[in-house]
Amino acid sequence: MSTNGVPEVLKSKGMSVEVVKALSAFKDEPSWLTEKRLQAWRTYEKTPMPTMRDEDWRYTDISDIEIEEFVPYASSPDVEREGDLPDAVQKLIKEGEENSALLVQHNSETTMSRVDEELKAKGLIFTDLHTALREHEDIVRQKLFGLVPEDYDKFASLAAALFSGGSFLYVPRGVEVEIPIQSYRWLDVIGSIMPRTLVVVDEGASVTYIDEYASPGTEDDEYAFSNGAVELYVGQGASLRYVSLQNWGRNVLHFNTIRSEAGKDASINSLVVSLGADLSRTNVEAGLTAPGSDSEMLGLYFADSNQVIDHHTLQDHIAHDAHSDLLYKGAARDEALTVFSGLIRVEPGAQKTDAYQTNRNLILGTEDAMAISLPRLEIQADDVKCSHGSTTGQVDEEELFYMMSRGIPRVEAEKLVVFGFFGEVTSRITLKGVKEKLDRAIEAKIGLSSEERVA
Amino acid sequence: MSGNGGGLMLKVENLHAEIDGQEILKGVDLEVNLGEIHAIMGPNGSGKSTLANVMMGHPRYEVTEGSITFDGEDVLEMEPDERARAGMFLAFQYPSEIPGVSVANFLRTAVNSVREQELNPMEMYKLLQEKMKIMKMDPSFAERYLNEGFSGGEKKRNEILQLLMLDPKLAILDETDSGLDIDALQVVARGVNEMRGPEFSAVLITHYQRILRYIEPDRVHVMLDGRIVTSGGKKLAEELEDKGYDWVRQEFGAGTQS
Repeated sequence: MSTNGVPEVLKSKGMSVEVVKALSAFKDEPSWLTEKRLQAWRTYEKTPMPTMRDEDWRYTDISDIEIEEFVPYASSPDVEREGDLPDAVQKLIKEGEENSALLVQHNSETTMSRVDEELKAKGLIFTDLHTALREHEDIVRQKLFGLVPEDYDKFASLAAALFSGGSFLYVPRGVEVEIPIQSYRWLDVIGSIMPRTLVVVDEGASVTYIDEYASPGTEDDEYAFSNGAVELYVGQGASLRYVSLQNWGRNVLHFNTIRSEAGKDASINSLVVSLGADLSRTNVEAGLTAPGSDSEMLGLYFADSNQVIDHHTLQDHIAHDAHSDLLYKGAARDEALTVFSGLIRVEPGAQKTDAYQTNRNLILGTEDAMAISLPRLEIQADDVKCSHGSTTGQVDEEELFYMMSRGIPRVEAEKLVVFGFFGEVTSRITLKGVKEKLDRAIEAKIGLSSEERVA
Repeated sequence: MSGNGGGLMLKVENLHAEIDGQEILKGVDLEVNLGEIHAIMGPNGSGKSTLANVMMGHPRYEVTEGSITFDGEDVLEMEPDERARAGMFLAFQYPSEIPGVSVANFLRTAVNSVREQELNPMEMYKLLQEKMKIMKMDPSFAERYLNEGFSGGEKKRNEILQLLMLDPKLAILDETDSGLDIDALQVVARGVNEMRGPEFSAVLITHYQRILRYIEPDRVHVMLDGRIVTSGGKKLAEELEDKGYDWVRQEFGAGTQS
């Protein structure tokens, strides 16, 4: 993408219908997409900003956020090789999973992408959304906005109206991709990023795909805004392992909706990790839309300082004989707030549903951290197996004393407890690089309590 | 060894301690020499377990008077982990369950915390295998999460395994014998006897005389209402077994009821 010629209106503060039109024209989009974007903008304008009076936003206060104050678009230089990417991004790649395809979105633009020749030869497509629109318009048109429609919520409206960059992955029928495919989103301006992910895994294919979000901002910087949408289509007998690794800098406000649809006997394993950002709100919805489909949903979050980390999950059992198993674990320290709201919904006719949901929270320290846990069941079929459970507790002084009596210093003992706590999730992660990254991130979070930062 | 005059390992003097404002220890005096094994016996509620926990620095107890000196150092100034690194060890009556932390991982962290030089993974593995063999534990035990889902006997065995791995100068065993069948008791005793030697001291806290058949004490103390009321040789334990704790109460408890 060229760094020149970005219309002035996209580079100035404020979002408006002119911005939507200018963006669509700048990307030289087909008219159906321009119309979609405009329709989404109209919906966005009509929809009031959610408040704490709305059930879905009861604990997460976004009244201070002025979305329309952000700069809608920021360009970035094209690069040919990984070696020309910002050093911090190269480090992320080096420390990440080995990958068979790579895409880097830097601010609003895709700065590089690469696919192993072998995968290309098998017909695998992995590119940014604008390129996909030019080269594979039919399938993009058919699937884009299918799972996260413009009227899903106000943030989804905006994401549809103003998305840019993004990634499109298509895995053809029967193709098994062994080495993960990785997408990085890097934000180094004060402004906004609106990435979209569209993944289509065709019949019998299998793949692992990772979206990773990172930026260098600190809590002293001005707010930046990330507003994403992720649509995952997994065909009959296909398998998708999807990882979302949110590790934004502390000045980012992160909103994301991840929704999936599973074909007959398909399986989707999602792992949603939320560690960064000042405020992070993620909706994760698995549609069990065909018999025999299976969804494992793992979540891991750790909030410190004044962070707010909010997850809303849905296990939507539409078809009969489907299985879902959710495990979200989170820790909170300092003055942080975490929210987990999880619903298992069994629709009429979804007999023989097998659905589980567990949320566990650990409060560290005796400060003002808080964890809200709202597990819910909504069952409209009579032959189902469903269960949910939720716990919130502190690190037990008795446990710490036990470990300290063996010579282990308090900080190390706390680390063991926290790692043990998250182990239930991390032990289920088969990706070594992701697991190591998580261990390091958790370690850093434990090591940086507010008292120690002051000391 | 600093300040270890005349082989005195542990000296507890006029120790008072309370929990939630209620005084439990009301002036405990105790001296344990290097290489000696002492038994502290007493009825339920006499303060035995409190004494064990206070010696190790349990955060819920507050010491209001008196002192604990271990190997010449003022223990009350030390955190529990510092006490452990100084060479103290407590085998817990009710060890905590730590989900997600394997026995092997825990022991590796603990052993490397108390040692000046870390063991390499191979040395650690060998040491663990050797000690587990003494405790008649299956190697798979090391991969289980610490105390999670352990039977009472497994927990106690695991405590003694930790004792063997950490190799302290002083071990305090808090009712390690309670709830054990005779086979388990023998294994536990074997572990403790393995440690026995001129450089190792122990304080065995127990309600029953039974364990003293397998671990022979040098001194026996009787605790009642927060104090050590009488001390003697191992014959005292037999006397207690014959006469029961009512005898102790009659003999030493008069006028001290609170």
